[in-house]
Amino acid sequence: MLYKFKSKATGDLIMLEPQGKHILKLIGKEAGAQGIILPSEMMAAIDALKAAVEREELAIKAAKDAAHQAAQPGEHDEASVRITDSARTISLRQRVVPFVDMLRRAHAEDKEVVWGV
Amino acid sequence: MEISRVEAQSKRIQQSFGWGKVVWHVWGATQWSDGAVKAASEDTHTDIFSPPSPRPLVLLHGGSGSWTHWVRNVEHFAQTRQVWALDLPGFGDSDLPKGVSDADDLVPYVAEILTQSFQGKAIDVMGFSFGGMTAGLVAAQYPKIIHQLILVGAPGLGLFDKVLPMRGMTTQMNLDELRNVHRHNLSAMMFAHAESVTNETIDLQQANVARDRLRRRRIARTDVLAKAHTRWTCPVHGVWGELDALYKRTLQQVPTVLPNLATFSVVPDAGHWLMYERPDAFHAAVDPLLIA
Repeated sequence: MLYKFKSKATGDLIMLEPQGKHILKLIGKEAGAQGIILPSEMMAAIDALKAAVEREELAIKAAKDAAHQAAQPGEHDEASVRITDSARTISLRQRVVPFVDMLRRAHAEDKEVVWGV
Repeated sequence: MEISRVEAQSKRIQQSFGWGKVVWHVWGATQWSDGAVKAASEDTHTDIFSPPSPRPLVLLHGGSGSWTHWVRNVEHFAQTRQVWALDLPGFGDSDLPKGVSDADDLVPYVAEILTQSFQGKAIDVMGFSFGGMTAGLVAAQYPKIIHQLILVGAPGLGLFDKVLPMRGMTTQMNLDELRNVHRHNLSAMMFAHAESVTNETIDLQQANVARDRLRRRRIARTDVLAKAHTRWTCPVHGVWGELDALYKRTLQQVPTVLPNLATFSVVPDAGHWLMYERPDAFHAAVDPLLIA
């Protein structure tokens, strides 16, 4: 199943089921086959996504710090390489940024965001 | 002429490699020292420049194209980024390396160009159509080169459902007939709306097609990019036109065959060459990705 988010203020955003469900859960929406986000709900949804991104980034930073501390003398370079590589995987920030933009633009034009309709 | 005006704002940088020359057009050069630009334009083996942050944005054009595929976009992106639009080897003003006939052959050459141009530092890349497929293959084989990739209407996903009604050209055709064939083909493949094809668009297309030296390429119709995507380590975003003629019935399958995409955005009322047909809507879709 795909989640296709639509708004009259923007183009469509299409997500695979796991990513779509994750984002809907983060903003407190039931991840059903159909749904709507009202303009009045959008600023709170953006705040919830921002908070989730910050939580993930703090967790990544903590993991990096722990990896640095765990590295033995002489192994720092290798640890840095591992951390650099892991930092290039897809972050929540990268995943949600077009969705946050969609909410912002829909809110500015007082249009809802819908999916499955 | 829009192209002349936009080109006049760029720095044209010619680089020499063992196999031939490549040509970049670069906007946002006022952010650099003149010395860096002068050095860059002399030779590439010894005079690599050091682009300041933020990361440069590299633009790779589509098939039978050149940097001019981005003529309606470079000024917008240059407001916030250094924009480096490449003429891919075998297109525009860049030489064709011996033995290269398709995107997969181009991969090591594009990797060499990007590595030398940016001193091995990872850069952001946006690739349109053939250029997106090429960039996706580069990202799979050379994971350290690209920090973030945006695919724009890329082929190679095994999702083309039919051959488009393109018309051929013959040597007997006069200039008007040739222009009419270009108009028809642009309308059939590149745009959602026939009125998007202006006389200047046909001029642009004629100038680019005349310099296309990879005319026997074939892999766009295969699933070569879909097979490569599992090796991506950088974030890859997809931005497609809602009315892309190449994905008429298959647009929604793109994120299914590329499950590693970070995001997939659809630009409304736009065809395959979406950033030319609907530049403002395209920028609205891409801008948040570039600042993430």
